[in-house]
Amino acid sequence: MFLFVLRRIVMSVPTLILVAVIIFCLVRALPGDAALMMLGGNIDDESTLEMMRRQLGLDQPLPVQFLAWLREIFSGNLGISIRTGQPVGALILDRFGVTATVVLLAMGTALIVAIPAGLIAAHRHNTKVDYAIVVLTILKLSMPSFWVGLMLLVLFGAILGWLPTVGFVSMSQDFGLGLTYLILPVTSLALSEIAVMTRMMRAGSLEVMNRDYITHARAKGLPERQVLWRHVFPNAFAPTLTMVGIALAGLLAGAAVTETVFTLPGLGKLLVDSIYGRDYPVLQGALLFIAAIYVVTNLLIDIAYSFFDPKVRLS
Amino acid sequence: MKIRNGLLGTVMLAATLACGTVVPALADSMVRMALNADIRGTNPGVTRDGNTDIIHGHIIEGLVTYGANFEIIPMLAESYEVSDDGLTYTFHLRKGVKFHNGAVMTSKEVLWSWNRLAGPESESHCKNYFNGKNNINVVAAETPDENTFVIRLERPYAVFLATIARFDCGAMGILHPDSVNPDGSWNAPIGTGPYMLGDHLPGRYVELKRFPDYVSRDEPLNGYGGGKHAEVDTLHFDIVGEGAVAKTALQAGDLDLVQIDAMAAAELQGQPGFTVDATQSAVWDTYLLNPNDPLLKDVRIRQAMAHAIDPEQIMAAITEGFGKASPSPVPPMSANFTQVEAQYPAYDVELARSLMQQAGYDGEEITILATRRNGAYYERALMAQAMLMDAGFNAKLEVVEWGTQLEAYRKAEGYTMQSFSFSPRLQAGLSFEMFTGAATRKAWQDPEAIALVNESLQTGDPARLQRIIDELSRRFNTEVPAIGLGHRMLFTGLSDRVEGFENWGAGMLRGWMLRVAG
Repeated sequence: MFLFVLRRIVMSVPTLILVAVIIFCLVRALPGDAALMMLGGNIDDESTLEMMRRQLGLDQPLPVQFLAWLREIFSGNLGISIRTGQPVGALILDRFGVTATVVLLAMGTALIVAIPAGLIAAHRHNTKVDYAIVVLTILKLSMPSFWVGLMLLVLFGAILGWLPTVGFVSMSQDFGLGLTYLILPVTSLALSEIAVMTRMMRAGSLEVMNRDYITHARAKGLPERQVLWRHVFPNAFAPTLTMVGIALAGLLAGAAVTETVFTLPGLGKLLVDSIYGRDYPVLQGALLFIAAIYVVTNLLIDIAYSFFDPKVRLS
Repeated sequence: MKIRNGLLGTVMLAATLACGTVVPALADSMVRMALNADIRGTNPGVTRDGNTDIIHGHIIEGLVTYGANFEIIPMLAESYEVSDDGLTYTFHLRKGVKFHNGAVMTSKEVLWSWNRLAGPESESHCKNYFNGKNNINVVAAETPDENTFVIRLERPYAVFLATIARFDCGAMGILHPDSVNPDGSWNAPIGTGPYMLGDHLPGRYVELKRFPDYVSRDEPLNGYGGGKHAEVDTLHFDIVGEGAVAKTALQAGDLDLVQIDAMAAAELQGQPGFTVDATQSAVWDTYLLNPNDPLLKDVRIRQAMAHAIDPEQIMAAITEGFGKASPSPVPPMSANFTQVEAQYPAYDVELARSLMQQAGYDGEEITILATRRNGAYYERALMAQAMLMDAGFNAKLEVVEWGTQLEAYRKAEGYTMQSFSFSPRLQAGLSFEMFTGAATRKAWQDPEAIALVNESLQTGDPARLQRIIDELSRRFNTEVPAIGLGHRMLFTGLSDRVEGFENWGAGMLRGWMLRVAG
């Protein structure tokens, strides 16, 4: 396994360099002028605009700008935000901490609910329980996450007054208080993932339940609970795990809608703000960081796969 | 399964109930507000945007500022004099004004602050306002004694004082030199304002702390100047990007003051526990016409478009009935807004069709550019499109992101007409200058109009200024370089916990007015 991991890490280096080139080109191809955005659209004369471009380093030829950015990457800084003057690396890590906390809690909650729900729906196939679970998941999938988030805020914040509606306190600063700020965003995000994963788990379980080895397990008199957890679950979970990997990477890359609704200073919000503000160093750094998240998450999922599917060997 | 779901619900309910007790209570002397984006930095006049200027405006003050009707009034200057030739400005400084570090303000700090922003080494865009590149050339800044500061210009310029009061330059705010580190790099603002910078957690919140030794002017509050008697100990600004969330937080009691849109204002108005402040601002919402578009070279087409669009209907719709049309670039609260400025092309579809026919309009496409940014850019464009189509124009709406629209504006390409806004210009000549000139982006490139605008910026004679503004207004309605709509309504939702707040047409929030009720 060590060699497998090492090989994947080495292979990811050229991938990330290629991604860096693509990111740089795409970001520079964005319509709009960062210097103009900095001046808020108020251009009193071209010399002011030129001065701003010079200050932002945007007066240099593109290859020079790219090399400067590469230097920043290899020094680990990722540059300085042209909007706020903060170091990009530290900014991304700070924001990623918030996103990762919310996403991991949401994903954990989603798995705890979705796995048994999917298994039970499959086990009670075509019964009222199955229909209820399917209807609930479809209902949730049909609701825009922005709307669900806002409704949670209205209900638990404005009407009941139980939870804060704006602001954020890190759990490392104050665990109890920090938790209150996380309940709504985690619930909102978890609800979406529960819907998707329950359906995946149900579909996977239904397919597995028709296999001969399940019939054999039941024929030899194993209790139903054991059949479900020992034989159905590991085999049905593999496809769900792929979905978990994709969803996890996607959410870690920034749950922008959730972060916007719940005023979380996360990576997704940072990314969106940097696009609107044409903050090239932050945008480039965040995109590269997201690419790295995908590489790492895929690697972890591949490793996890080997635990659930004996046919998969890490070699 | 039923049991499991029931358990989950119970656990969540219990958790939320338990958590309800630990939500922090507001301190008595704290008012919580929302900013829709984080500040760019703490360096006034250098790191700035609209939100940042609001925060800086609580910390620093300039020699002069804007009064309620956009007149120039002294702030840190006790008084000022302008020489007869208009070349020398002498500011007599107020005595006993203290910086946040306890030091007393003298002309030494005023000169240091001037050079910080306007000197050749300045990193601020503001230096280009004073180095001759934009009409004003400051040839000397002097300190004859510790209470006097003198500025000498190369040639007279009537809006010099209005320029130094600009919000984007932090009113050329006076800072203590300890605001920078020994190596000259920026540290933190040490100003003379009623509030000092407190905590700033990027992406989360900004806090301002009341400056207990603030020395207020004796006059009543007047616009951005006059007496400032801050009572609230802490002004806390949460960064809330989404308006609907800010409104929910206000209703939940987590925020005390939020900027809201017209729809939210209509919803909140009359609800117990809340008040809504609706104030007309000097932000000009308009439809800019592309000076390079061949179709628009014929003035009859531009006039037809103006007659096809009804500003009154559009303003009523986008402001939920709170606002009225005021198509002139000169804001109604300006001293230069008279009956002449109140005139604009009447909504007359038949006249529009007749003008189109005379001009030989043959279904050429009118591309309307808009963005979904706050400020109803999109809604304004959508309604204009419908009205233009009703008159027979082949109008197409193109929605782009703000950065793209700004680029199109700068290059004057990719649009026939765009839904646009100009930030407040608090001098009538500047209200025309913002879209008049030879630069590519300027909608009005008529040499006579440019000459009139230049004259309006140089004359010190109020009667002459009014005549020029009236003449520009008449020409604007005839030549139609842009189709004015109105001056944007600012809506602020307030909880009953706070009182004393009033919005102001310049759009700058004044936290020193706030008081905690009871």
